[in-house]
Amino acid sequence: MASAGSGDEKAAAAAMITLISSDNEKFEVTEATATLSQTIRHMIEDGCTDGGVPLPNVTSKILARVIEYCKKHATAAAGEEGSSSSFSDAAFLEVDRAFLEELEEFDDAFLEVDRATLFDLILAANYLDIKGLLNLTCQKVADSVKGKTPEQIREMYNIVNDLTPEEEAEIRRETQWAFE
Amino acid sequence: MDGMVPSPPWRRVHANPLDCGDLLAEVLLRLPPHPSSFLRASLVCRRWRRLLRDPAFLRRVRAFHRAPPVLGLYRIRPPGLFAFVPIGEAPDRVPAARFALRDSDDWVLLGCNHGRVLLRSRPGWTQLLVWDPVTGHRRFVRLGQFGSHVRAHNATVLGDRGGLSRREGSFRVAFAFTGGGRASACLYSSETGAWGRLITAEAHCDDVRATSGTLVGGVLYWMLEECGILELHLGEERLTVLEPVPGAASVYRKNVQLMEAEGGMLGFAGVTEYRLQLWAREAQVDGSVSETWVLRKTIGLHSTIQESVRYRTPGGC
Repeated sequence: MASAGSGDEKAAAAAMITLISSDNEKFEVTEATATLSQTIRHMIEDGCTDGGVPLPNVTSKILARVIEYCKKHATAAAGEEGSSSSFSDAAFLEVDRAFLEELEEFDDAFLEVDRATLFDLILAANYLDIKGLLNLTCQKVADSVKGKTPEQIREMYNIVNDLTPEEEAEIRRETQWAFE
Repeated sequence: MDGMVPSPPWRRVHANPLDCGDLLAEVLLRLPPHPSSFLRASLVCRRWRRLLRDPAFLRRVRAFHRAPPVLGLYRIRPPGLFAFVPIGEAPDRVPAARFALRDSDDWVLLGCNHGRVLLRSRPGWTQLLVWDPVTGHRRFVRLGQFGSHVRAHNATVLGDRGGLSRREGSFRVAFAFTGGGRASACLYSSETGAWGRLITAEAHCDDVRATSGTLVGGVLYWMLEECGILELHLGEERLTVLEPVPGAASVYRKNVQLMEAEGGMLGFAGVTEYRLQLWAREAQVDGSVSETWVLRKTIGLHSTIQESVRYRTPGGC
């Protein structure tokens, strides 16, 4: 069974990566946290992270949130790996479920942000190629559109309607039932 | 600067992810996979409409959501009438007329599988129609000599389950017929456009019923008049006759349905005197290769039936 001490030593020995936001703020993170981003993983593999990784498209405010997400999800991933050898199957499943519930609660709380922040998180998740975060944030936008009329969707997201009234009338005629 | 993450070109232009085609696709991909949510979103603006109609995007949607939503079912009302019954509340309720067959008087509905409906010509069994109600695509299958000179027939359509592109998706039709105590079957493939060899069961049996066939794994089952079961192994092209659930013909009479039981084996549901009984065909515990019918569950229907009587509208059924 792996002791807590050896785990800490491992973490201390783990390489740290410095991420630099667009406003020049530096963030020290473990490699495990940073490599949730495929973009950074590739940079580490290519050995070009000495002196820090400048991220000119991500502000310190957003980068702090992204790191918060990655830390939580990296810990959960490590926890799952570590616990499988230390518990019986039943206990493992119990721990696993608790982990997943905690992670879900974290994700829900994480998404309690205004629209501008949500959009910035999507852009950062896409830029840094963090699949879980992209899925989470895009799903949030998709959920916000659910059950809304086209007018409501346009208003929510400042979208200009460039369909001509004739086109719009024609589409509505064909698919009237979906708007009742 | 060394080690700088290269900036994707769109990032300099868009501060709103919905202005970027790739990210708009990531969002719209995650809409509920129901036609109504796609129709409403496609009225937002031209860009959204273009994306939501793009075949490549729709293939991604199907792959992402895997199981397509159930929009409704076809209810068969003897003698051969049928109607589409939509499922769900407005605005997710597809109108019944959307999936109605325009010349339905000429056809008898045999069953549905994998998004396709199988019908036979009326009167007689001169040809079959495989119809995709979503795309409206129709394909006729001639029965030739199979359709005549036999006492009882049934047929089942089998779609291409893994096929993402429905319009081009292939299908098979399994046709079974009985007479003179013998049962035979034949498989049609849309790819070859022809019927395969005649497959005949060794054991004698009574006539096949007209109720829809049931697919369980790679095996197709049809109910026989006395509750025996005709079993067609699609891979091996082998036809066998299974013995009925003990006493089924006298206990349940016509109130029976074949189904897939939990665990992926053949199941049998029968209703008798306010009780629904679920049977499964399980392997014998003694280790022999044979299988036997096991009664798994009995569900009392008293309360359910009383509820449905209470809420029945006057003159309805």
